[in-house]
Amino acid sequence: MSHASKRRRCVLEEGSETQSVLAVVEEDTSSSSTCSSSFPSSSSSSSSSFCPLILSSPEEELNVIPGPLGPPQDPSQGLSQDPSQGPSQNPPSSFLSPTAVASPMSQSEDGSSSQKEESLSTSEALPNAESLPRNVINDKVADLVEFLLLKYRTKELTTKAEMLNVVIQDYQDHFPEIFREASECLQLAFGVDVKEVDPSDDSYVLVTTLGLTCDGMMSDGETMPKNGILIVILSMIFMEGDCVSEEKVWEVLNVMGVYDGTDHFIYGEPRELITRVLVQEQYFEYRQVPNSDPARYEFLWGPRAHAEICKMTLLEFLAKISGSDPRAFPLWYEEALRQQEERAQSGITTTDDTSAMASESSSAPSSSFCPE
Amino acid sequence: MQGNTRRTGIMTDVHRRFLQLLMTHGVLEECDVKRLQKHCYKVHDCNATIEKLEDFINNINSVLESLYIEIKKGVTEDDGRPIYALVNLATTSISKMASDFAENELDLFRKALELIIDSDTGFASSTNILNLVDQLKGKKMRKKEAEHVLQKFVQSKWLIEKEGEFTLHGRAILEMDQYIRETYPDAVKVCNICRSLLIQGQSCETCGIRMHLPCVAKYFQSNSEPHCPHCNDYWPHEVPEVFDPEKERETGMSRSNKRSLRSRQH
Repeated sequence: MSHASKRRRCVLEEGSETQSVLAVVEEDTSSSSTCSSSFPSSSSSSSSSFCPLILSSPEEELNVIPGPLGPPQDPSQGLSQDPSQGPSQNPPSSFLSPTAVASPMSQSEDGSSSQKEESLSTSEALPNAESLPRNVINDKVADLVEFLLLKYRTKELTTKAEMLNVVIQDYQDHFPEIFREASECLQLAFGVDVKEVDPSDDSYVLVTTLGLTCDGMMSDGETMPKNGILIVILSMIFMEGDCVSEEKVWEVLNVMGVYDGTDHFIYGEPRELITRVLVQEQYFEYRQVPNSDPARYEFLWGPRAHAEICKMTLLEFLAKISGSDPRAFPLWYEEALRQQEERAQSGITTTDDTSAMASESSSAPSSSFCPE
Repeated sequence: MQGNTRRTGIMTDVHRRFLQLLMTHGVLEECDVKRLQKHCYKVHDCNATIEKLEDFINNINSVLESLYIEIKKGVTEDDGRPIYALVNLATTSISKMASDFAENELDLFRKALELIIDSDTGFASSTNILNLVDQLKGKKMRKKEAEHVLQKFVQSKWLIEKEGEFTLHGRAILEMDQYIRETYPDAVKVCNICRSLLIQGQSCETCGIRMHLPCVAKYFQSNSEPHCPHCNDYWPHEVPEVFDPEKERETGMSRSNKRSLRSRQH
C-alpha cells in the first residue's frame, strides 16, 4: 500500500493511475480489468440494486471515501471485476465500495461523471452535502470509523460529545452525516453495529451483529475462553427466566472444574471474570437480591448480551445438547421467538450461527467452544 | 472465472467475522490466519469453497481501502514467518496502542522505540530503557513498575524480549512503519534486498549495508560462498535457513525450540 503511506490522507498524486475501472458492479470491462479497486468510471453504470449505502457523490478517484473506491492500487493487486456479477446476485453480501461506486452512477444518472482526471472538484458535492467538500467528509468518516473500532475493541461506551470532541471537531454541523456514513461502513465492512444505549445522553455501544461464537482457535487471547463461561451462565439465566442466583452459578461452574477463589488455567480468577470483567463489558448485570440479608447476589443478562446474542440460537444449542428440539421447551421457545420479532421490528439483523454453536460438542461446555 | 477476474469488493459475514477476529488478536501468524479463515467459512458459509488466502485478503483490502485500513502482511525479522495485522495507514502515531496503555506507559514505549532504532543491533537493553523512567511524561513511574510495563508490551506483542534485551515485535513493525520512518528519518535502517524497515538483521562489515535475516536466507539460498550484493566482499555471517511452513509442521517444532539467529552479527 505504498500510495497511502506516502502521505497522510492526501491522495492527489495518485490520481494519475486512475483507470476507470470499477470493482464488481461495473460490467464494463473496457478498462483494464486488472486494475483493482479503482474509480467510478464513465463506463456504463449499472444502477445498483442496493440503495446507495454510503453517501456518494460522483466523486473522483481522489476522494478516498467509504463510498467510491479509493485510489487505484497497483494493478498487481490483480483484482478485477466479474462483469456478470451484479449486486443483485449477491443478496446476502453487501458492497462497501462498489455500491457507493454504483451510486455515483445513479447520482449522475448516466455515468457521465467520467472523472478521470485528478482534479479535486468540489463542485461535485451533492446537494445534501451541505457544501462540505467530499474529501473532507471522507476523511472524517475514516477517522470516526477508526475511533469507533477502537471503542469496539476495548468494549467501551462512547458518547456523541466524545465523538464530536475527539473526531469531528470543526465539522460539528455535519455530525449526522458523518456519523451515519461511519455507522454504515462499520456495519458493512466489520459487522459492527453502533447501538444507542441511552438516548438521554447520546451514549452508544459497539456490538457485533454476527452472533457470538468462539473464534475457532485455542489462543492466549481472551475471546475464546470467556465465551465458554459466558455462554454457560447466559444459558442458565435464560433457563431460569431472567435471573439466576449466584449460588446456582457456582454450582454449575464447580461441575466444570471452575472454583471461586481458585485460578483456572483458562479463565483465570473466575470471580473476577464473571462479576467484574464480564459485567464491565455489559454481558451481565450482577446485583444484590433485593432485601436479602445476608446479601446474596444474582446474575442477569446485560445490555450487550441482549444485543449480541440470539436467544433462538442459544436455545437450539441447548436443545441439541440435550438431544431434543427447541419446541420441546415451549416457554423458552416463546421467549426466543419474541426476541426474534423484536429484533426484526427494530431492524437488527443477526446471523444464525446455529451451525457454529450447535456443532460444538456437547461435552464439558468449557471445551465445547472450540470447534477444532 | 478467468485468471484475474474476481468478485471484488464483496463483503459477506465471512469477511466481517474474519476482520473482527483479526482485530481482536492484533497480529496472527499465517497458519493461524488460515485457521481463522476456515473457521469463518464454517460459521457462515460452510458450503462455499474457501477462497485462496491471498485473494481473500485482497478482496477485503479493496473494500477497506477507502477507510485507510488494510490487512498488511509482514514477515518476522528473526525467523521469516509470515504474519498479518489489520493496520491503519493514515495514522502517523502509535495510536493503536493508545487505547490499552496510559500516557506514561506510551511514553516508555516511545523511549524504548527510540533506543531500539538508534541501536546498532536493533536491541535495547532493559537497563538502558529503565534508566529513562525519570524522563517520562505523565504520572511518575518507578523502575519496578516499568519492568512490569515492558512485560505488558511483550505480552501484547509490541516488543520481543531476548535475554534481557528488547526489540520490536513484527506487529509493531507492521503497524508503525510509517510512524517510525517519519519520526526517525535519519536513524531508520533499511534492508538492502526488500527495502523495507529493518530493525534486526545482518550487515556487511565492509560497506555497511544491512539485510533482514529472512532476506539473507532467501538471497543466499544454496549459495556456498555468499558475497555482499553491494561491495562483493565475502559475507562473514552464518546464513539462516529459509522458513518452510511445511517442514515446521512435520517436525512439530515449536517456535521456542527453534534456534533463531540473534541479530548480533555485525
